[in-house]
Amino acid sequence: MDTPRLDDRELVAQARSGDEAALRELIRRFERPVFSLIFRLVRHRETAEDLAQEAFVKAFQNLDRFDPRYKVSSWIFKIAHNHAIDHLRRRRVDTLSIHGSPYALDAEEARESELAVAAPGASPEAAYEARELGSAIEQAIGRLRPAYRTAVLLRHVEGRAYEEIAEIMDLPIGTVKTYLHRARAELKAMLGHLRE
Amino acid sequence: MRNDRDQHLSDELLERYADADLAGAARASADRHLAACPACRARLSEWQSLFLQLSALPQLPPAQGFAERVLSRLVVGAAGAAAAPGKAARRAVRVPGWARRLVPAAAGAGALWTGGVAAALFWLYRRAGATPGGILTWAAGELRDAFWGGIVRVAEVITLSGVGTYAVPLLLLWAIFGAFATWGAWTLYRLAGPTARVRSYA
Repeated sequence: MDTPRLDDRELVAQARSGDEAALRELIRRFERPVFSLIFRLVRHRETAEDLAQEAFVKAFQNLDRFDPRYKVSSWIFKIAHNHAIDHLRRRRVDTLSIHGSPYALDAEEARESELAVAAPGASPEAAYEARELGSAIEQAIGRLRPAYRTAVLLRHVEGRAYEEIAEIMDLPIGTVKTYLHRARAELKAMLGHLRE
Repeated sequence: MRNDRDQHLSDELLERYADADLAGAARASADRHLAACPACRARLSEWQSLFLQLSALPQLPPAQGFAERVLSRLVVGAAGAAAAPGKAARRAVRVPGWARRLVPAAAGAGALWTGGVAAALFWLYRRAGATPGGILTWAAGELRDAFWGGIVRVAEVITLSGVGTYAVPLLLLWAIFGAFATWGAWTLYRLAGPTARVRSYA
């Protein structure tokens, strides 16, 4: 079976019948977006790795509950989002520290947990600017409440439709739009100094 | 959707415009206004700039070997999970990393022990002429004697220690309490553990 050619729903059907290659392909397709979402929610790489792995395990343990009317991406994002939110509730994590993770134990760990955004191969000036802007915007995103953060990340980083975000977050579309409006207004206010 | 005071487009409308969430007449009306209003165009560009920065954020990769780690959790959590990821895997519990590393050693020790017992039974069967049934009866008798002998020994020690007549009931209660405490701790671990409860998704 040529798994890379299968669409997401066909892969889930294959995985249900115990095909390990299908499981691997599902991981390959979704590991980056799922990890990115969780990392930007919990802002600690090791914790995000652990939560992302657990999210995939949960998804694979529940393949027989997948409803084919929904998109596979929505289903996996939903599990990942719920898992990360559960974790944040348990840990009652503060939002973002100035740079890097709120869990960082020392300066080196905090530096490692910063989210680098500079494009590979960019000039030093461009890399610095990208890093500066990126740090500022990542920092601003980190200050949003988790539900706003998820909505913004799904809409703007993952490019998901309002309907899909509503499915993932288990909210009415109107609420998603309200969250996005408030989140963007907060981001705009936080990043206002960079435009001057 | 315009501010009545100055007839400029509202911030919310500009935000929706930048997010491609306006269509039809509303979009056409906004287009006409924007074509003639530099102030609204400047405000729109602020939203567009924000959206551009957000969409430029990269997807961040997990560490190398992510898929292997996910699959190993599945396979170790419930034997055959990859082969039957549905029902078999649902019974999975989280196994700590140090315990996972001990799995090969434990499997080897188990195989050695089983082989040793099988060899001993075979030797008894061949050398002493004992039948399998006879060996089992003898082993069961030894176990029974050891069990009751142990209880008698414990009772003797308690009696000799002079703890009193309430010692045995108290020990029994303590054992029952210990069993409940262990069960309670296990339940808490399952409830609080990361892969503990599987919620119904989608």
